[in-house]
Amino acid sequence: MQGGAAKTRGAFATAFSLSLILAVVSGCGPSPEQIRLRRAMHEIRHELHPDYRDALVILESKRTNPNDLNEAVLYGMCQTTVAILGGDYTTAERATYDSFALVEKYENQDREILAALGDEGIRFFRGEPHERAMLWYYAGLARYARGEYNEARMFFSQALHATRTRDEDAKDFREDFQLGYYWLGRALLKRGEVDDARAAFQRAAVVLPHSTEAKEIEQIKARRRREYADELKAEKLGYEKNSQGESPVPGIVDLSQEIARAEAPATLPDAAPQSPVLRATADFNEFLTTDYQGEANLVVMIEMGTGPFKYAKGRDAAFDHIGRCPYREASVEVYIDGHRAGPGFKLLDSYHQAVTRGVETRRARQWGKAFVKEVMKSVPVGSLVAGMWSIKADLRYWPTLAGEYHAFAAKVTPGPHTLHFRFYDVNDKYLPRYDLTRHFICVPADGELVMTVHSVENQDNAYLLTAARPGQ
Amino acid sequence: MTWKVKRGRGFVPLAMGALVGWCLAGCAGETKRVDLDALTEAEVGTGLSSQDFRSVCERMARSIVQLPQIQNATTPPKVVIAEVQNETDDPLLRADNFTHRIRTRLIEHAAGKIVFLDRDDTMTERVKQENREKERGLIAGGAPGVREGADYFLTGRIENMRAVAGTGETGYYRLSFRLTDAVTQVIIWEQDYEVKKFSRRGSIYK
Repeated sequence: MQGGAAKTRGAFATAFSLSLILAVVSGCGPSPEQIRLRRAMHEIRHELHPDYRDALVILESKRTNPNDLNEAVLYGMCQTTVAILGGDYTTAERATYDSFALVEKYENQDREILAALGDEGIRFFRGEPHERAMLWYYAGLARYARGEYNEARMFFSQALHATRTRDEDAKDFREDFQLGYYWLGRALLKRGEVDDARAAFQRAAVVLPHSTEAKEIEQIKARRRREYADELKAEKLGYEKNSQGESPVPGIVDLSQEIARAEAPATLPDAAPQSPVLRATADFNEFLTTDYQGEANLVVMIEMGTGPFKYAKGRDAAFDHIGRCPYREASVEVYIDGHRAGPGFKLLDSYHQAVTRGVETRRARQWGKAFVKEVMKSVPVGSLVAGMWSIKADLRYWPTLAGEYHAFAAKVTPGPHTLHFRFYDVNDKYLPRYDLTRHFICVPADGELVMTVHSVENQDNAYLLTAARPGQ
Repeated sequence: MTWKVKRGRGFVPLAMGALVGWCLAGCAGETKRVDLDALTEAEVGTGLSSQDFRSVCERMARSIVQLPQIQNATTPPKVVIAEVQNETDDPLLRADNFTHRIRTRLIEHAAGKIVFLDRDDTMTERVKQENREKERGLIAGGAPGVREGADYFLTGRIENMRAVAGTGETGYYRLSFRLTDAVTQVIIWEQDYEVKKFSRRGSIYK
């Protein structure tokens, strides 16, 4: 009897497993659309060969779908990232404008009340202040690149306004959006408002660290020291293994040397005979003068790493917290036609912005709900209601935001140039796998060139390997 | 998170009631018009509303039509609308809509004491095309003449300031319009309109 029961159980388990596999294969898994959306929203920043067009198409369809109105601004944010990274500023303008109109004009008070009483994720997504500020920054950047300086000024002003948190616990950080002030200064300079531009640049120079920042940086430095040592070991091992034997990897380079930023070369091996750099600086104060910014005809925004994320804490996931995504890059040196032109200056740490917008109002609401729910759980009838009452925090966030934004500006000779970016970690150690090269960057004889690049591991390396093995 | 709570019959409804009351009172948001005008309508945010738009255009049109240069002119002065400068931080604001509304009000109520020249780019191109076709004899009509020149330009400027304090924000708008002599560049009329608003967004949003 026992053997028969075991056989039956075994057969049942097999049938169940098979049906589960069949169900997954035949349609219970993620649909192709879901996979495309996932890539567009979460992975596009880190892909070596991103399909920007496909990402824009899927995000556009989601953003404009009335059934997805609640998340329209979130899709707009992701679409903006894709458009900016892909160089499609027209789409970025449209996505940011539509999102701006929604944030400013759309209200759903019923959902607001329900969200205040229960699950906060049901509210219309407007984004956190730092996310809105970044969306308006991109909106301004897209218009600035087109020469619409007044509209750019408006959006940069909106970005600054968005970061002015109303929570009193973070009132000291209301004016700390350096990136917004820098670009507002440039837009004002273009409009001939030199005094206002100077004031904006002065504000862009003010760095306000948050209370735990020094400690966090020390922790990151210590972690990076360990990681860097491990990475060098792995590089050495990889090189030894793949450069010898029967089929060595063509084009393999030994990247196991520790190189500090102080040892960075003044010129690269393939440097042009003459430096095209007419004016560049490594001094942040000089960088933020109207004189310097007025002369610069090449402006590059360098985006690094991944922005902050949200996670749930507490019983019933009632509290939302902001976490820092780990990434290696911390600073950058720019080379033009092989000649060292200067560093990119850090203007924004997205995590810092996110954690300095205040939590006073939100925490009061979340604690209130958590307390009442706990009280209800302690009484017989109340516990039934409490079981059905969701008080989850809103965990939606802009997943493709960059971790840091660095600006490089210089005056260079007009014409085509090759830009090369060398990245360093927080301990000023060279990250060879993050090298980034952009060829045929044409600086106009009149006006300026504004461009955005973002760091991705193995970007140049992928090119080298492909070039070394033609036909594969 | 474990709390020891003394069980009491009235406590839970009281706590629930307090939470609901707090949310309804503080989370639903509130917007009100302050200072310069009486509170007449519920408005969202601190931007300009349709009521502001109508009020400012009405006021400007009334003021223009009373000008001696308009009232005492032997032939109706010809006015061209020039671009209104949007110096606010509001990209949704269509500044030229104000002058178009003022023009409409003047055409409706000034009894022909003032005429407007249509210098809209599309219209200018269409008129040129029309005249070309008349010259070629492709369409009937009188010989094309010389286009009228402007006596005055109607233009304006809109500025704003915003500030955040505590849970609310204030927005101040100043809208100024002017008529400029097309020959001498003398400003023969200028008037402004100010709006200040206070808004408090619900605590569910930061």
